[in-house]
Amino acid sequence: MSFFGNVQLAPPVAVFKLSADFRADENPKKINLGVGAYRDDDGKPWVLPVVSKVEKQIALDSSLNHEYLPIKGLPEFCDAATKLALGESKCVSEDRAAGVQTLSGTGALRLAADFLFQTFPAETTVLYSNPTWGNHLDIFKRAGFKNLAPYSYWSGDIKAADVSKFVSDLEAAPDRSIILFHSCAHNPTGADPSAEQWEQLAQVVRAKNHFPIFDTAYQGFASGNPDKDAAALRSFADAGFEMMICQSFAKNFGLYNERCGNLVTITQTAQILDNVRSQQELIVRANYSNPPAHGARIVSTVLNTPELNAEWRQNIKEMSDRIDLMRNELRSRLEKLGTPGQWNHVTDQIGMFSFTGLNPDQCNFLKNERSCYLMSNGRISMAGLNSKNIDYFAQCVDEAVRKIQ
Amino acid sequence: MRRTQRIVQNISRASSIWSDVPMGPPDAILGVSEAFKRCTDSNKMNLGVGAYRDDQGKPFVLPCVREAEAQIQAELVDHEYLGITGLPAFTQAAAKLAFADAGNVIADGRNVTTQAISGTGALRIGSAYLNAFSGGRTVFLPRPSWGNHNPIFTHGGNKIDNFAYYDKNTCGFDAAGCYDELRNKVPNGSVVVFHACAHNPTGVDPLPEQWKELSAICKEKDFLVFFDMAYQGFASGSVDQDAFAVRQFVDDGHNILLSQSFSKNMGLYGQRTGAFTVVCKDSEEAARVESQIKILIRPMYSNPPAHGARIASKILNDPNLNAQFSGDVKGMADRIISMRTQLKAGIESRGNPHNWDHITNQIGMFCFTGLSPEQVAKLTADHHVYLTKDGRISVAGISSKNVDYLANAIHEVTKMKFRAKIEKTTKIITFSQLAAVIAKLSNETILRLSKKKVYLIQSVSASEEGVLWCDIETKSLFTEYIYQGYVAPGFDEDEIILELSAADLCRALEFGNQEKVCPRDLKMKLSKEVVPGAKNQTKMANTGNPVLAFQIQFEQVKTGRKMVVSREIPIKVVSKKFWADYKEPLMPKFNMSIFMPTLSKVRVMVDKIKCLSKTVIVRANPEGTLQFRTKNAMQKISVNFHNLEKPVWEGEATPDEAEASVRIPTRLSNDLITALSQ
Repeated sequence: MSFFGNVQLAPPVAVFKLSADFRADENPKKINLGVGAYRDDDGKPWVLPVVSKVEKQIALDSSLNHEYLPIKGLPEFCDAATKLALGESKCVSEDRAAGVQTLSGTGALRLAADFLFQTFPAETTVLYSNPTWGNHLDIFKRAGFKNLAPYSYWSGDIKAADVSKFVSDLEAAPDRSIILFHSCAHNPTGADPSAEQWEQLAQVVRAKNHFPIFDTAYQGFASGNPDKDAAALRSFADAGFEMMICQSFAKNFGLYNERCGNLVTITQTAQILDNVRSQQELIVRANYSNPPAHGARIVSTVLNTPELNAEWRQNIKEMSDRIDLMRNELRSRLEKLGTPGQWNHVTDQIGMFSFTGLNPDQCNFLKNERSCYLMSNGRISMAGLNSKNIDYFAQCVDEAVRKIQ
Repeated sequence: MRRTQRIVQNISRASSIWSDVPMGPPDAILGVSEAFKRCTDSNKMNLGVGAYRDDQGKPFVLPCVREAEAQIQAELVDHEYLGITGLPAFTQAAAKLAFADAGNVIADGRNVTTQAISGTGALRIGSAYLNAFSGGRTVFLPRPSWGNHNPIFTHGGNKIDNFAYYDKNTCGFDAAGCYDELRNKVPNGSVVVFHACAHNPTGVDPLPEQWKELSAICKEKDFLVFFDMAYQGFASGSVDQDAFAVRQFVDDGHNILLSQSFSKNMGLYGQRTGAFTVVCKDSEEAARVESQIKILIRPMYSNPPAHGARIASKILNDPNLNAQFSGDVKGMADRIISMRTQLKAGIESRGNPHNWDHITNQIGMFCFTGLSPEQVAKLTADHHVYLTKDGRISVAGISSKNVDYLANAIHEVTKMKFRAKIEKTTKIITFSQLAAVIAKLSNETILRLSKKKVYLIQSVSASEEGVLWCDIETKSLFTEYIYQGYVAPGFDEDEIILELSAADLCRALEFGNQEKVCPRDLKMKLSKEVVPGAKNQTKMANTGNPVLAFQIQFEQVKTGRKMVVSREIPIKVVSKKFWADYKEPLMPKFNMSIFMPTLSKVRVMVDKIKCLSKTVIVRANPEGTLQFRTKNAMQKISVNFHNLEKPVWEGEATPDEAEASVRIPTRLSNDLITALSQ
């Protein structure tokens, strides 16, 4: 008898399935708009020049070894990452904010969720964006939370974030709920609140004693300027909230597969922070003992070396500019084609993704009939577009919108 | 436009969400490392961390790893996401490394192998998988096990328990206890965790035959077996030898779970490179299991880190690098094995009486020394050697430069210590007389020291006719009595047993004419022979030969002048395996008991009759008559003592018989009476 004879076949993760279908497609015009990884104008993966440079240095440096990192990770990495998120916020100088190195953004969210489940009442409600990144819900569920509820975010009518509904949902939620925010370049919609809207959100979070946790997967990648992209984080931190920030270096360093992330916790006092981090350390120990060194070493070297840091800022600007260009090109093409509907949201949105507003049938048509692989919720990865395929894609979208209602 | 802007000014300081979060306990190993860092002694040693060090005590990057990294750097590699289950070239090679062709697992496509965040991450996926699909089976860990096993399985939501594994007395595998508990304590169908090789923390592995027995028991009991393989190749130097248990179980038809780490055997500690495997019934089941494992990994960390997996994959898949890897891993294992040999020899050469076979019998990174927490504390405090309280040392932390230092340190904290003092002249004299008695009876004498009593035992080997026992309450004789012995099997407390020449002891305690020179103070201690050093050395040299050293202070009765005399007698430490010979005999059953008449009278009489025969017959009756009698062909002579008192014995009285008699050699009767009448 097998111990696992009754294990059921689970459905594949949608985004990985989309990539697999893409790879199997033989149409030379096929476009992959699924995975959130940057592509250059030739549609190729792009290793940031500054990353290549540092990796060469590391490979040649015989003084480096493969010893274990501390459980909380490479200290100079955590410090630099925390500073990248919070800038000159006084919580840093007051030792009330510090990071624990994690397995990229997912690992940061999971560590946060595991820790919060240990410290909050089990019935605490976790509010997540509707829509949100597919993994958010699972992460908090697996950590043990039972009460998960969406807050309103995307409005199909205005093709933007409906912040007044967002605010009223936070007001309606039980006091001391956990609110999961996207700090910039909302995934999947690409629509972010304005500074004034963030202020409204902060007020309701304070009034309701909610706990804010920020998923920060695109700092610098969104606008091309890491400080600009950290505005929401820093304003919350300066306002004195206890909060968490889940940082990923997958996109802004192109270190997708090195699993480099950081969980920043901000507390009221330095002593509370020490206690909190000691508990986070126990969770890490039981999950994977200590984090992988390679990615952290690269990021740490870049952030802590002024010349390399400047070079990195150039590199992300280059990525961000290309994405911006593609947004403008796509919008102008659709407007030129007279494609029914408004297309200003394509350029209003920011970051890796655009929520096109295409419906599932239109998406399926694009995927099945035109080899344009996008998620069925209408999300496209802007990085998948380039000067060679943008005409074809605009035509296909035009066709889909006209043909299928 | 989004700008940095103060959102809410001066949030009132509501109480922190986390004011009640307590400080978590510090990691034991980390504590050891930090104490080590603070220590400023130049001889300090860190034997806590389980990472390999070369003979210079430095972190070691395997040459095959350097080569693989150079090759990877030369290729144009990107940093795109790996799949949820990792780099296929790596996971396939890892499975092959573990199973080879055992059980046709790989050929039949029955293994689901996913990349994991090294061994811990692999165990953690296993833990989540068991929690989700094993139907609440309890996970049984060996006693003891790696400290992190408990949190990993508990954090995953499983109940845990344990089974016997390690035998404290032998510092070896407790086969009988282990079989018994697996058969009788662990419920059918439980999850049982084994360390595939180089058990952490004990370094104690079952023998191949014992693994086969374990496999049979696990089959019988329908256990789900989870192997933690963190040291493949690192233990014996051969990846195949170290995979014996895993392959045996799979060959025997067990569908095991397996966690693999490449931290130790490839030295990829910080790159978190590992794999988790479920062996399934068939490939159809494997597809279902794999789909569920992806669901578990995705909300943990989405997908694994590539760097280490790329290195390991290159090494395992490239024949040249693979060959180099075999040599590299053997080099590490050989150095560890050599350190074990040298450490054992170093301790033994100092005359340490403990058994240190387990140092070389154990295998892998760690050695469970068997040191007590007190001894560990002394090792750290006196010798700056840092290790965990359980007495585990990382053998990789030892080098040819400090192995002797460590051997000496371990010897110092485990060697026997004894120091005693008598401060009253009459008591010193009593002790001296005792020595004289013993010296008359035998050449070799046993000196047995325990907490409450000191025993002088006439050596069994010197006299076949009898054993003389003499015990002294330490409190009645000594004003100071400090010692550290050790506990032998069958003994309740720690003791010291020494062999020495009775004549030496007698001479050491000879005081001459006590009316002129009187001993006032006697100190004795276990020590080492000290001889004058070589020509240019002013220091005295230590030969290492154990001695019992005496320091006696005499006082000239007339002048009151004091002088100190030092005397040393060579001793031999009795091996623990012979200790049982010197356990106090129980009071033998006797037929008759009677007080002896004044011994000087007996001697006069017996002396007179003993020339008649080689034996003397001693007879007694319950009325209090004692008779010494000899006879030869011509005559019988007896000496009779009447109306002797009968002693009262503690506890159960043995009933006296009507009459009892014994025949003893004349020579011995003489010795006996002489000795007793001193």
